[in-house]
Amino acid sequence: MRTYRNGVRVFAVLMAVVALLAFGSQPALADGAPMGQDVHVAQTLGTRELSVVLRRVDEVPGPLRVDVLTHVGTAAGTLTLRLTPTGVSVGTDGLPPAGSVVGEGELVLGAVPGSYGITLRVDRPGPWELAVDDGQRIGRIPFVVPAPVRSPPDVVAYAGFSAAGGLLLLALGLAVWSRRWWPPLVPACGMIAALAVGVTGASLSPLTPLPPQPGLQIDATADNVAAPYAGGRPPTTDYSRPPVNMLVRASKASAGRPVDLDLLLSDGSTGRPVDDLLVRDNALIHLLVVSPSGRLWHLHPVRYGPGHYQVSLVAAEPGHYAISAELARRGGGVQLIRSATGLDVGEGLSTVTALPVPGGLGARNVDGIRVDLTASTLSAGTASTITAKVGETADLQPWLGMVGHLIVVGPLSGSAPVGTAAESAPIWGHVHAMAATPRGAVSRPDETVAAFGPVVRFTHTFLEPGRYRLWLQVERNYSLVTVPAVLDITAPRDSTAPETEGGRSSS
Amino acid sequence: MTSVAGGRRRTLWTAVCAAVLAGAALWLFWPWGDTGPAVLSNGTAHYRIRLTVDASRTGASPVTVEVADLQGRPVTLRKVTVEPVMTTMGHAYEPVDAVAAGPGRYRAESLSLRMGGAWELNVLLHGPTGVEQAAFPLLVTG
Repeated sequence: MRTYRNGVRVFAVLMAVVALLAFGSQPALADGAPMGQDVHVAQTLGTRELSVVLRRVDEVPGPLRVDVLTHVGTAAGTLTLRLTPTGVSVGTDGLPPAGSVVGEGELVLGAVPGSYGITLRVDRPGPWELAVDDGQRIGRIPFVVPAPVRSPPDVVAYAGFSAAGGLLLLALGLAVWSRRWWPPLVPACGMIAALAVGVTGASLSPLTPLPPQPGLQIDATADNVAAPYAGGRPPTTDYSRPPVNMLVRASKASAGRPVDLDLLLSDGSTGRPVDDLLVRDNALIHLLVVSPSGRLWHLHPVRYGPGHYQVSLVAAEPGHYAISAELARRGGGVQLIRSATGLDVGEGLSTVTALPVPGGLGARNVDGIRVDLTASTLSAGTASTITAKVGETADLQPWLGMVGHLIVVGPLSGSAPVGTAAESAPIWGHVHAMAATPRGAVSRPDETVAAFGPVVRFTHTFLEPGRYRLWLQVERNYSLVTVPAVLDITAPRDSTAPETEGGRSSS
Repeated sequence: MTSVAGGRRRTLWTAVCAAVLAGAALWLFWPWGDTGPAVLSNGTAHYRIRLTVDASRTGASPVTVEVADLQGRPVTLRKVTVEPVMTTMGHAYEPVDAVAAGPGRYRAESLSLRMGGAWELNVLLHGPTGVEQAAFPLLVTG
């Protein structure tokens, strides 16, 4: 009789366990979730324009894939890549100290534009620096290797539900084998308590505020990346930092020869070097240079050291060049910095003639491609949409994460050379045409996807009427196409101009 | 007799449960790690640096900088300076010089951390190969 009763109990217990295993367990997605995402950084290293892609790191220690995308005109050669951890840490964990090179590799770039990759190894989470060395110049790219992190309520929920599961099995086991009635009650009560803990943790989890993001909002250290909830919260939630001053130092510049520019960034309040720039729109700094006749460079200076960036360009024409930079500091938004001094280039060897004044709307040929520019209303104060049709097929590649870039400078005064006029122009705009991303895509397509266009649209509101210089930039066949244009923006028709008598317009 | 034994047991269980709960509450609410010295490690191209701030709280605190080369041998430098900065506030405070206090050990008796928040202590090492610097982020409690 007793044996039969035990058999029934064992069967019931087994069924219950099977049912729990079958229906009660969900895969713990959080454990295998991606920790970060790819980092794309454009680098103008010497004469090469490179896109350095740091692929997502899935486990630490583990591999870090670095892909370098080259463009038409990028010289073949060898780059040396060096990885250095830069994070402050509390403990001594036997790893090589911060500041020492822990990984090095040589990357051979071919003459054909495309992607060239190498796999290096990272041994800890935290802030890192990748040095890209072409033998003459070094660009040091800061980045953060993330660690898998669970919030404290998540940890409590996991622990609670795990304990509840264990206690349930214990209670069932005791129910089968115990000769007294009360022992199963003890783990059963514990299970209820553990369930309560788990449910509380799970319901608190979405309400828990995120800790400040190391690298984006606060300075990253090895410790706050590995355990962002542990360090306590700073007493402020405003992470923004003071504005940046930019000093442009140029080597002796003469036309036709390469000019080396040193950009020295200092904090507007403390005067200290600014070493907390974020990768924004796929670059640390977007540097725009406009020549006397209206040629545009859109360059990405390399970080040589704290607050010290370098770039070089061949300034073909003598005269005055206007310079501006877009950058973002940790914890703050994007800043537009306009150099008050610009760059003066003396007479040199070059006999390059100045660029002709570009046309307005309509068709033109640029680098062998037909480009058709149209626009909706072009009056100040109204959103204007400028549409460019580049070629006939959808073969544009996203450059810096965008299908198109439109640089707008104006209103320009009449007779002065473009470089001089641009330096004093009230407005410098940088408009983007975004690539549509498929629903559910984790990251945006990069330059290897040539499937966008041929129509690129930009919408911008011109504040003031007048003559504007525009440069439209797209990438096609790994080559950057820059389309200059001149647009005249009319005064708004229904404006209530203050100089009108009585302050009212009759229209 | 039985009822007396049962009463004792009940009391014992109650006491054990109360002790467990009190222990858990104490562990949960204990002010962990607020007081001790902050010891932070960082490095530059030529040096390993260990920075000890005796009390990472508002007020003046002694600070020690230990400098070794990449092989771990103590390094003698011309000068070691600590520059405290609150980057988000845009405040730089007066730098302090750390004086030699042993092989590879430099100490400043009073580093003023005037308010709670995110600080950055920049350590400047004036050595034979030039000046190298390392930044140490430090969260100062109020």
